Amino acid sequence: MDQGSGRVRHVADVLAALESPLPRSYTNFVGRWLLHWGDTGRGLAAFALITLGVLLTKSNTATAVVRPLIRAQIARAGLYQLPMVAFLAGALGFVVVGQTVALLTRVGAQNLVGTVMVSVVVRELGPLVTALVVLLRTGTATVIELGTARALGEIEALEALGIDPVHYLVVPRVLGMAIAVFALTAYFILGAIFSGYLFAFLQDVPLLPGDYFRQLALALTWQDFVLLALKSAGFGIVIAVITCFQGLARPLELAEVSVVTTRALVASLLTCVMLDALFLLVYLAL
Amino acid sequence: MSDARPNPAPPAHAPPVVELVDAAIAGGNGETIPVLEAVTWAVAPGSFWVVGGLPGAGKSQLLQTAAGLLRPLRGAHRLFGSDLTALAGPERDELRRRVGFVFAEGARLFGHLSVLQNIALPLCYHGDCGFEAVADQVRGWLQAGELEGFARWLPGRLNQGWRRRVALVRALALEPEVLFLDDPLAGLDPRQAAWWLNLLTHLATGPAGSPPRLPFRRSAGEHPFTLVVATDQLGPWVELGRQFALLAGHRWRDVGGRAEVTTAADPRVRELLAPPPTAT
Repeated sequence: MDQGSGRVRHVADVLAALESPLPRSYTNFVGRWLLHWGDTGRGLAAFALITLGVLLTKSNTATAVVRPLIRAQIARAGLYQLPMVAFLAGALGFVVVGQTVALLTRVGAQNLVGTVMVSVVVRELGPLVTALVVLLRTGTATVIELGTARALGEIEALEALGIDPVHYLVVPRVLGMAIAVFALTAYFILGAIFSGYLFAFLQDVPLLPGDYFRQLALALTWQDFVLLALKSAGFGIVIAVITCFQGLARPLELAEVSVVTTRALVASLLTCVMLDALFLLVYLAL
Repeated sequence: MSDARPNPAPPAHAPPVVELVDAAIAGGNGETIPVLEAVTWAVAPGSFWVVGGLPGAGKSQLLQTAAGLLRPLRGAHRLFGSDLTALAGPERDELRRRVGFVFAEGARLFGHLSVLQNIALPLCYHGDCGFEAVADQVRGWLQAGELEGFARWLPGRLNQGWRRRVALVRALALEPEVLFLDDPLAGLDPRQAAWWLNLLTHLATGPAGSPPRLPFRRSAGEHPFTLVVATDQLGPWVELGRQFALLAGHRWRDVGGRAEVTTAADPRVRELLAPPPTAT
């Protein structure tokens, strides 16, 4: 009898510890954190696979409805972000690129301008800054829209009308953001390179435009173009899948929408940085 | 409603539209504790079921499970003779398209689409066509629902009654074979309630019924609809419904036809038949 009641008390203690909002120890905290991230990662992977499955199996379903949605997402995540990206490209060109060009020329290392530009702007800053803009301006809106729709039961209404929510809501966003981030990255890189030269020109750096662009062309390889396309589209896909997952994957109350929005932003940012690190390994291996 | 026409008999030997066998029903969201146990229920084609129960009895969950929107925790669930639990993908979607559902609170309209777009979306999606191809059909449905004046409005501007009416029209526009209505008269003023009862009488009796004429394209309007209504007030449905069920104490119970329900001695049925209590 005593043994039995002791076991019951032990189980109750464990349950109370798990339910407690405050961790009882550091190991408890780390354990919870790991379990939470493992669980989220598993759900995210399943969601991504479902999205891929729907994308492949329903590519010819309801095209008259889904294609305009894809175009709308490209406009929303790409075209409407162009002024912001152009401003950032200009600012970055002036602040970073122009100064780098001026410094390299001052120390007589102007033959490294192309390599530095390609490494910094084309490979790293271009895709990452563009992804950040799309995440903040479109990703946030996506989680809020989908989370609110989930909380108000609109997803069940779609299902009741025989409309696949993943096909109608997620697929256009994934395709739209992938294309938009890729296109915006290209514009960002061009803007940064041009404004960078403009800054150097204004500082009377003795570097002719022909030399500047020749060095850039020499530093670029075909792998840069392929990896840039893969990386920028990858960032778009990551942002779309994570924001849609956080908004849709589990039942929400309206009050939880702000919580999942923050969670989606952090998770997207971390995943983009991890993906960036993965591409860095590929660049180093080239 | 006392002059209701005799209801035509459902087609003989047709398999039940919906069949639940010894099913345990729970709410969605991964809930594992059933709100209803051992539900065995067959909805025949052309029948008109009214499921009564107090708030919290599990009416919405039962309807959503029967319509294939939720999975039962245990037991068998067949829709048009096919085991829904064994189906996945396009076959399941195809079966679900034959079922219409009108939700209770908020009617679950798409808040970012106008009334017109709410009705057009499922038609365009399933017809794989642009709005122009369904414009006449949508206009016909707006007219049938007396919604022409609200066509460009967003659902947030509509009151509960009109929102629910849009949800009904949106479900009917897909021409389903069976229609589930979750507490359709809740909170409606008498005029709106009369419109609903008139329309449902028309749907329940088929082409022999009185106007409003509904702009069906296929055979949906040629036969009486199969209707399932959940409610916590049996009173308005006594003349209209043909079979009645009661949800109480986590159980589903077949009460019988109109005669049985009006003469039922069960206090729970009498409570649902009584007019709603008013504040003193």
